[in-house]
Amino acid sequence: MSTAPLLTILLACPVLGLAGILVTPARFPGAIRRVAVSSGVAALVVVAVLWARFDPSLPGYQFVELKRWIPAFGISWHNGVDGLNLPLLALTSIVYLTGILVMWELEVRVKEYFAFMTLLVVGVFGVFMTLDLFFFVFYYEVAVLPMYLLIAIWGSTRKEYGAMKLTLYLLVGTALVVPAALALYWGAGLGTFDLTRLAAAHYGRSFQLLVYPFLFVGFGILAGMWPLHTWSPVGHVAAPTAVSMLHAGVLMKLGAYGILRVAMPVLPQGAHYWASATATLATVNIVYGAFVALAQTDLKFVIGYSSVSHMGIVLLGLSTLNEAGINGAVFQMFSHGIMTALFFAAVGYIYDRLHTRDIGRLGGLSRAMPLASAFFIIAALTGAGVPGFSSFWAELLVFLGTLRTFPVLAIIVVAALTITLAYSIRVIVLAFFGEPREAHPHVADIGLFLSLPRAILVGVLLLFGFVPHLMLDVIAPATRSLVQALS
Amino acid sequence: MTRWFALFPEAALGVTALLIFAALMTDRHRTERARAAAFTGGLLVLAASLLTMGRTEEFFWATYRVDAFSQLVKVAVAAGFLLSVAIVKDGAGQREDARAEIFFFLLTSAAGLVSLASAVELVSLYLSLEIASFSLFVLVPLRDRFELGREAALKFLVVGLAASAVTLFGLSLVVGFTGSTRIDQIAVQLPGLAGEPAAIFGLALFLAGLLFKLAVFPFHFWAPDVYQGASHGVAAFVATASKVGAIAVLARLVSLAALGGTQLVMALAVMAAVSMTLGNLVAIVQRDLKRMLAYSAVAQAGYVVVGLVAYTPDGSAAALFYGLLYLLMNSAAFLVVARVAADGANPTLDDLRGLHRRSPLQAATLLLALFALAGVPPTAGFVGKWFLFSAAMSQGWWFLVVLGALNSTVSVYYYLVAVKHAYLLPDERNRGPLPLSLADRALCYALSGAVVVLGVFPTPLYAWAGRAARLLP
Repeated sequence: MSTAPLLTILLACPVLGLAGILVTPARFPGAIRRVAVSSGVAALVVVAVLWARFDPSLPGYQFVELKRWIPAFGISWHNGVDGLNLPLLALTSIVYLTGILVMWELEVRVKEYFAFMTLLVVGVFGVFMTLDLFFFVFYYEVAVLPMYLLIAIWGSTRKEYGAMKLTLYLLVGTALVVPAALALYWGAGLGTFDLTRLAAAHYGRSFQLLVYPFLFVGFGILAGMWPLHTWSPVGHVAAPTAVSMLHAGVLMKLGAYGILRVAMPVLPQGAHYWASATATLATVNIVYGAFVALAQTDLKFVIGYSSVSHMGIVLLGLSTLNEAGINGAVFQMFSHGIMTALFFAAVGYIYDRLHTRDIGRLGGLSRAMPLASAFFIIAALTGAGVPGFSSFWAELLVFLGTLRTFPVLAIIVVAALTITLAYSIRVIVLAFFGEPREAHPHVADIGLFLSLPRAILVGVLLLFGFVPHLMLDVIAPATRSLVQALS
Repeated sequence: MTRWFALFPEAALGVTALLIFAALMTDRHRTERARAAAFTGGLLVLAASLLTMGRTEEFFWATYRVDAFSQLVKVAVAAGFLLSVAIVKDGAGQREDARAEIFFFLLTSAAGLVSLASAVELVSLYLSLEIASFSLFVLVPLRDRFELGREAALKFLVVGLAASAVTLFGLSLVVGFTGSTRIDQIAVQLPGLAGEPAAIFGLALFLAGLLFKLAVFPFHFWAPDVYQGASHGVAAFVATASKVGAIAVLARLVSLAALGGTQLVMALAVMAAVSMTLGNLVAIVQRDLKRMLAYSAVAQAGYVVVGLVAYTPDGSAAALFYGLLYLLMNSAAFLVVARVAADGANPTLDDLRGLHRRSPLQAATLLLALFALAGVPPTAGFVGKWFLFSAAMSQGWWFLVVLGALNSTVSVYYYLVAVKHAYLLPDERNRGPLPLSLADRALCYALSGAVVVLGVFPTPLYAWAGRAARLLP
């Protein structure tokens, strides 16, 4: 195994991209786009190398980099990969690249847009690779902040309100995480923020029970946890296409990943004590999100609430604390990320051309733009858990896991899945089939270049839908050791 | 004889004063000449403070101490002075016949802060504090054509004098009970006086004078008026160099507060909590940028006190470190405020509209400065607050940490509103570009760069602050 610091190189891709964008004068938007896309391609290549060299049979972290950073506080530059974050790094690189391609037609303030977007991606990659609690929180906030400007400047419907609401909600989340992180540091008394050592530290039971909710709720806000999810649909509707893709696709996973990487391994007793409460909240997420999605008329709101519902599946999987559930949760994080990105990419094209997302004003789209419609329909079917797409396996695993620990909740969830199916079918039928409700100017179907990013996403969904073990082989060993540590 | 070399920075101050004084004697180009003199002199003081860094000496019957702590603070004061001189520029907003004098009085105030850093005895401490304050009492009323400026000046003077009276009374009580004015000797006496309310009361009153300077609740009333009423450069000095000086001395004295028993520490904790909350909440409704920065400063002072109540070396180091960062980020904010309102009038949020088009560099500088004040990574504000909160958490002040973290979220709201005006809202008056001089551009890049670099590589500066803080009693 080579000793090249692959993770630092991966982080350097967006960092150098950002630097390149900043030094390119704003009057060359083409050059800026090319810089952005090359950083996206580079990141994807590095992740591919990581994936190829990753050996699931080895225990612990691989590609580990460890350097002292702020010795006075035991803060270190510590990165590593295991089966839990490798899929998420892959997800980020895929959505990053496709997001840049989707925004190729952007004309307004191109330089600033790509600069903020790359900064956001720096934060996301950072969270997914770091094993140091300080850097975890650091990157976590780096990822949250550019969001405000991205939504407020380039967004649509109620963008200023949506952007501010989203930012403040997420920062309340970090305001809970920061004290909890400091409490973990001083509570362990090891003088280190190293997550691997904190996970081995022994915390008293009452400490665990007290601190765990801070972490779960703090991270949970970003994962769209009910009842603190309201920022999510509003923010996603307001955001421009690629930002919705990144946000719903990747950023919401940061929250779930925080629970998985920080809260659960470091405070196992807390996780056990609060499991039934968090599982119940997650079930509310699933049911409530699905019902509300059923009532929406704006395509993006449908997706926004479906995300709330689907993130509930992730949280439920994590709450089961068993192998099947956590495997499913990680798989669902990945496949929901790809699926939502596809959703928003598809809607983005429709909105760009027709300037409406209102189901009541659409209809018969599949005749006018068959390819663009196909992308949306595929995403909707994936969301409904149709076999052949990756979400099917993820949801199945979460369901099996839940059946063992919370049988009642499992039954409720299965019932809710029919509602998921219902809202998916409703949107597909109303917007894409039948007669157009309003006359729209004739618009061309999506071109070859713009369908490329969407096609990539569809390909990924199908690949892991038909060959799920590609993913599960990576996740399962890491989950097994996590579950052993939890019990 | 070589031990007197440790007083280089003070000597440099004297030389600078003479230089500026000479410039003031001339007839033409007084402002430019005084500015050049102040700039040269400021650089001299900065260099002298850096050169004397390794020295430890005591002077004047051990009332004046030169060590790594005092010299670090002197570096910061000199840097703050230089930045303020740069922000003052041509003195826009100040009365026309008194523009050149800004530099002289800023220098005398800086001189007060420099000796404040070295004072280890209560009377010299008090005198330094007064020198630093009185120079500002002179500068604030010299605002040009601004009614509120007079009111601000009067308020500043009256409240300031009241604060000094209180400080002096506290001093008399402390001296009466301990029989000494030297901080180290008082520290020895204090534990025995823990049950003596009057001694603790005296100490509290003495601290009040410093808390006034730092604008911590309930001594913050002057800050919004003075920030608003003073001209930009003067306000920048009050907001930066003056704050660092106050933080440094507070770090020195807070160990006494801890020895004085838990009540004082508890009182400081409550003040920190109220400062953070009140400052941030009131800042939300401000439209005047300088007033907003003033309330934000009240909140920031609260964060600093959160670190200080830990009364550990880590806490003092964190407070000192945050003071240094605060100097940089607030200077950046004031620089943009001063340039946006180059005519010397007070800018409101609406004046920021369209800034990203008029001057992308200033918009970016403001963005970074405000994010740093809000404590958002990768800017330095994040690590600064992290260290402060960490120090407080180590002593079990978890409710202060939770409150501080929540307050940071509140503060993000009004900082983002300012950012929104600069980046998002269109400029209805369609004003043209806002060009910057070469020096201002360089300053924008330097401050923005420093704010980001220190956010990612805080170790050297923090280690410096840590070494200095370990020298405190």
